[in-house]
Amino acid sequence: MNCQEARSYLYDMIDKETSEIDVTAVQSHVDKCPHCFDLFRLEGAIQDLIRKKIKNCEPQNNISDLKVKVLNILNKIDEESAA
Amino acid sequence: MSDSKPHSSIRREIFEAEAIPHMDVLLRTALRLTKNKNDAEDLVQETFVKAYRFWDKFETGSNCRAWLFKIMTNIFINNYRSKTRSPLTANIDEIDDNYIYSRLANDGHTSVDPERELFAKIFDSDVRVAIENLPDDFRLVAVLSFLEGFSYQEIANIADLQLGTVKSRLHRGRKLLQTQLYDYAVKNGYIKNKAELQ
Repeated sequence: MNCQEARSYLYDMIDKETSEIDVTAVQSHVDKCPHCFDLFRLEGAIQDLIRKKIKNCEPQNNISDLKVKVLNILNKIDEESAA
Repeated sequence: MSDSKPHSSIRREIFEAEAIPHMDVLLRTALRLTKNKNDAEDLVQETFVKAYRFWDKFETGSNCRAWLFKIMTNIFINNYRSKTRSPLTANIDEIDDNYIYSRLANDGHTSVDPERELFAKIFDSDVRVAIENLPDDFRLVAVLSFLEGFSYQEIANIADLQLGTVKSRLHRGRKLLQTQLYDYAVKNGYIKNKAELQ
């Protein structure tokens, strides 16, 4: 496997969408090629950063008010359909 | 007299047990999609009302979370998606793949640890803003993948897209995220660009 082929699977590897990929072949190229090794490592780190930060940046939502609101609407729907 | 519950009451109980517990997860995605609390809450409310009306269509035993996301995504696309094109998309195909890697290599960062330099100081809010700046279509697939961890196929089902379209939007979304994060890091002095290194 050459660099171009290995790199075409970069995001599939990062996203763990590997069911149709020869993971061993990609990995063995990446382990041998310092440029691809750096690229895969950096892209993996960027992805980890984004996943972690996008979760952290969620405001602490209090959904209890919203839940009450929704359940009240469902009550109305129930009443309408019972009538 | 029978003590069994009427059908509508059982239906309601099952809905509350199966669907309602997903409300907080839907809200966090709705916040990323609509970018404001009021619209996000309206979107989630509409989603649950529609889900309840169509609850008979839900196949018991299938993935309720994915079903709710499909309803919410459909409402978002029809009622909330911005009609204006994002200025970010203009030159998207001219942006290098693996943008940050390319920039760092081009700037001569070969002997340093870019992860440490670049990432140590990026704030949660920087990533949030970068995500929010993405055009709606790209932000949708990015949030479903990065925040909710849905697979490509699940996203295709939820957003009613071809698998190839999901991959291409995710790919382009990543480019736009990387350009923003890199520019942000340079602007704030977290990493030095080529001119500063010389």
